[in-house]
Amino acid sequence: MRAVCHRIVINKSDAEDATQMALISIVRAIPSFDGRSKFSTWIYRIATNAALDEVRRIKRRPLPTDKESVYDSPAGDQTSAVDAQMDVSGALSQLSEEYRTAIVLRHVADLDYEEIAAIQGVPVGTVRSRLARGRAQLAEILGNQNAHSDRQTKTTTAPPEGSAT
Amino acid sequence: MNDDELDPEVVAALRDIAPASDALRNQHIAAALAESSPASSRSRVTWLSAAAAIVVLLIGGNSLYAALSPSGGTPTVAAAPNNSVTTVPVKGSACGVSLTGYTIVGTYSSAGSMREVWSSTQNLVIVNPSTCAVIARYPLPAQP
Repeated sequence: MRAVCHRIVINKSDAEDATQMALISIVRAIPSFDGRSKFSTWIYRIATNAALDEVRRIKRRPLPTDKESVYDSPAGDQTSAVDAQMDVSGALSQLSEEYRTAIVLRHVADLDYEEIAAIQGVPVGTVRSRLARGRAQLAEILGNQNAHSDRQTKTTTAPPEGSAT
Repeated sequence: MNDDELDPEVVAALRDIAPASDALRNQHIAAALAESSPASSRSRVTWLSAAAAIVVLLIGGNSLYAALSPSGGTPTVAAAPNNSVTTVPVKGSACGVSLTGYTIVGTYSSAGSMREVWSSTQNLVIVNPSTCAVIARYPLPAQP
């Protein structure tokens, strides 16, 4: 549930706020849980709504001045796995709410299409479409990031033209 | 497209969230538990009512037992009708003035004498309403 909040909200402290709100909402709503859906689906629905509420609240705030305040980038000397995570966070932040939520519910929460459809309140076909487009955009963004990263590496390691003369 | 088209490394990175610190986890849990406090209050009222009823039954039972039990050297006294224990609806009491922080939760009569049961957050007390003297005090266990 916390992972879902983190991946939808992106910013760490805002994601913790969303997690907190989700937990409070769950405690408030437990008496009204009617068992029509799986308990885990119900939990993820509340977490998703809390995260999306937080995202909308963030949008009403003044824009951050730098990229680091949008998502928490790790230090440069950390492992490649964490670097990959940073790329994923940055890439996710560029997806629309609908695509990002579908991707997170599918690949982080492991929900099936029907459960995601119930949470997002759309037909299963729409979920398929959002997932397909979201994955394509994610791959494209990550590919561009990698290409940009490769270019930066070459620029910093290769000697400048004419320097040998 | 199917799920396999998302790179497994990307999926692994998506799921790689640093665990919450103990302090943060405790903060989340405390805030969530605080939300359930209204329910706790309801159960507390129920619990106090039950405790008051038990005290009334215990005291009434003791009085009845004392009245019915033969004592050495004294003639046996049959239980009189006024030895029976009856509870009556809660009404206002003048003893509230001297019992700050207490709420009356019940009254009963035993051996012809009226008694009031008052509760606070820490104690349950039995009061003689004619003198407002505290006859007995029962500490309540701490709430979880």
